[in-house]
Amino acid sequence: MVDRRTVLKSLFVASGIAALAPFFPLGKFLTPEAQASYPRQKVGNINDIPILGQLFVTYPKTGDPAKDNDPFRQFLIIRTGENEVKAYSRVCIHLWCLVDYQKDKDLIECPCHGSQYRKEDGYAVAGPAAKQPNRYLPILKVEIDSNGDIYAIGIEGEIGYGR
Amino acid sequence: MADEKKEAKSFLDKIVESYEWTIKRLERTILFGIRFVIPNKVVSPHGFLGMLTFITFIVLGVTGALLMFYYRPSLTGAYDSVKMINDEIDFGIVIRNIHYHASNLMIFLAIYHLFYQLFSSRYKIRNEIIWVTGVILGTLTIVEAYIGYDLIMNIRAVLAINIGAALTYSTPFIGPVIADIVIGTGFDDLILRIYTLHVLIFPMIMIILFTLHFPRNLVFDPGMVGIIIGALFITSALFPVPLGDKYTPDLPAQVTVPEWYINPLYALLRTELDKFVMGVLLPTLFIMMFMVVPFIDRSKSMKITERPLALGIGISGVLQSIVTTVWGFYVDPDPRKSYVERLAIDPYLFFGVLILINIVSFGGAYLYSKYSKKSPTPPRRTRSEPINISKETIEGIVYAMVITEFFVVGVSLYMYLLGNLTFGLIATGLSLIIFGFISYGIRLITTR
Amino acid sequence: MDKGLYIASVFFIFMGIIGTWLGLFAEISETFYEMTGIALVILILGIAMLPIALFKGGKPPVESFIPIFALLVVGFFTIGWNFVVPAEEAGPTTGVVERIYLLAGEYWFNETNPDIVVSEGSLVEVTVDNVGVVVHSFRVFGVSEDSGNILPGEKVTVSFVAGKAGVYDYICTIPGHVELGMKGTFIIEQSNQTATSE
Repeated sequence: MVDRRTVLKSLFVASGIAALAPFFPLGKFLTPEAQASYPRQKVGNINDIPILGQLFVTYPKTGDPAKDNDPFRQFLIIRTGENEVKAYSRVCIHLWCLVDYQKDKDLIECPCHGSQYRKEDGYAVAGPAAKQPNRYLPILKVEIDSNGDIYAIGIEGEIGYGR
Repeated sequence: MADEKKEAKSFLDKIVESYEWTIKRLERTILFGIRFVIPNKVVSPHGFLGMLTFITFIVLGVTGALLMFYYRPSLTGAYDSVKMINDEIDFGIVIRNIHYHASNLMIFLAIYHLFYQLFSSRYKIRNEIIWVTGVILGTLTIVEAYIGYDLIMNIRAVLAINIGAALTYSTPFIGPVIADIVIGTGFDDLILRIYTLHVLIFPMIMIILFTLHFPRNLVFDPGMVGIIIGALFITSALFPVPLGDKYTPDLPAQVTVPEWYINPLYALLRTELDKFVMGVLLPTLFIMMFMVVPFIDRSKSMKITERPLALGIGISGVLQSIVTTVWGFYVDPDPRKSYVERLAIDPYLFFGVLILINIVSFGGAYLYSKYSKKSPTPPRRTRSEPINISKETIEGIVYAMVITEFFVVGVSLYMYLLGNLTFGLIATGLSLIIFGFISYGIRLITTR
Repeated sequence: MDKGLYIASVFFIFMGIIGTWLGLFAEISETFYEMTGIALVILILGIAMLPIALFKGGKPPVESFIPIFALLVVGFFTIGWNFVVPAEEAGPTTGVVERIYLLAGEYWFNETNPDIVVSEGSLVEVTVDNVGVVVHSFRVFGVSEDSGNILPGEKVTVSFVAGKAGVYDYICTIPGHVELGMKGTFIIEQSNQTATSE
């Protein structure tokens, strides 16, 4: 027979722990604009980009230049077909330089240490980035509407780390 | 008549009374719960390395608070504000250098403190909790220093942030959560968050842990404190820390290495094996090795030579730290080789050396304790010959040192007046060291 | 004397000397420079603790000065030597000045990385004009210093004395650029040959 005091004491401890539970969702305070809350933003029009041309865009755009110049908000859109684009984060997964697309080599290249990525899926084929555990550039998820406007809707992968 | 008497004593009495009044009230505060022992003879700094570490912590707090007046925690402003502190603000370079070197000194003293306590088996006498909180505090100190130099936002800092981010992401389960919290939406959030961690949250956690780490009796030796801070000032003057190149995402990172305290980690990562195992798991195991010492070493003896396990952990800890730190600094100097080739460390060679170190230190420790047990030599307590200097001579030396100190202080002030900060700071440091030796001299006289 | 403290301070001074030497003078690897700060902290800490270790509690035995003497010798031959012996003078110059103009782009010097031939002992002035879109730099490995970052559109002149005759490489030291092709041959011909040819 468990004595009454022990029961009451353990109830007291249990209720204390239960009272802490509502604080866990408050942890969301620490992660602003978490992945789920990326807004749908227009970032450009496909007709402005020549075939195999590139466009640098900022997403999510805030209007605050200090934030918009952040390398983590820089993306690259390559037009690969009539109505088809590929969009990646510009932050090289090796040491966070900004990559761009080299038309003559048909590769996305990092100017700093010469890492090279395929334009089809952002896979690192050469250079120090090819030594990283996650070898794909993070993807900017986009939608193209009938006018050719490109809307960014989210990011797949961790910027600066890969996917 | 009574009134007159009261009048005559009143002024001095009032001072004495108010002094006693204050002391009586202070007795009710926590301040009198801590016993400060100022040693009355020359003692070895080994006895109060923890106190010296704490003094360095206070130096860091003061200089850090001063730097906060000018530092701007934003992606665009961080480097420029540090550059402004360095180049434009009067004495900015002095404060920044002291802050930098004090961070080095604090970590070094903390590690020194750890190894001294390990070799002298202080963790045995009911000090297990003090030992464990000490290991946690040491780790926190290193993390605190690491996020501190990230705040400069030069190329070295971004290399360090990059390593940290990669390690956090590669940690299963909690890693991505922590990364989301610290990095936020990008650099601009990151810099503000690590700034908050550096100036407030980590120091707060450390101060709270101090209450679980400090013993009830604290030894406070003004002489040694003067010497240590003087040495710190002289180092700061001799080696002004370079500012580095500003991080801009278009500029290539030069081949560079992190600060010394995370260099073992960098060396491990450069073996190009799995990031989580190399960068998180192995360092954690290394720290855990120290944390569990009091619980696995149950022998009654206080002599380190009779406790081969602790001796082995101590020696292998020292050797592994030194070897991995220096190795982390080495980058193949031939720029004609590829970047990856220059940085790569051969894992077979690297781990071969580490395993060899472990075999040698543990094997050596066991052999040594076995050998010394077989031929027990009674400890010879040889009293060293006392120094036969008369009280008058020591007094003379003390007077001479006091005069020298005043002279050096004068030189220091004059140098600051002329704007020569380097020599001014050297003189300030020298005067503090002389002050330390004066305090030792006076102790020699009073204990005679 | 305090034995434990004595061992610690001698060990620290030794580590400090080796670290300072590696950081400032050893020329094994440039990245060792970043070690200098902590090495100096350890060195000065050791020096500050040494007198207390020696004189605490009485006269130190004479043999305790042997390691200190050894440290002084080590210190002199690693660090002190660099102050006593003046830095090596650049070899005798013949007074000939060679001016070279190089374009740097992605990823080449003058498109084809041409061989550069200079005579021994001449003063060489290489002007590098970055006509590309990313940062470059210039260095003759084993002969000249690094030019540092040359931003796009910037011109930087590196001048140095062509020392010992031989075949060297001139390169862009930005990591990764050598693999992409920014490397050419830099030949220093013996001066008597050039003298006869002139």
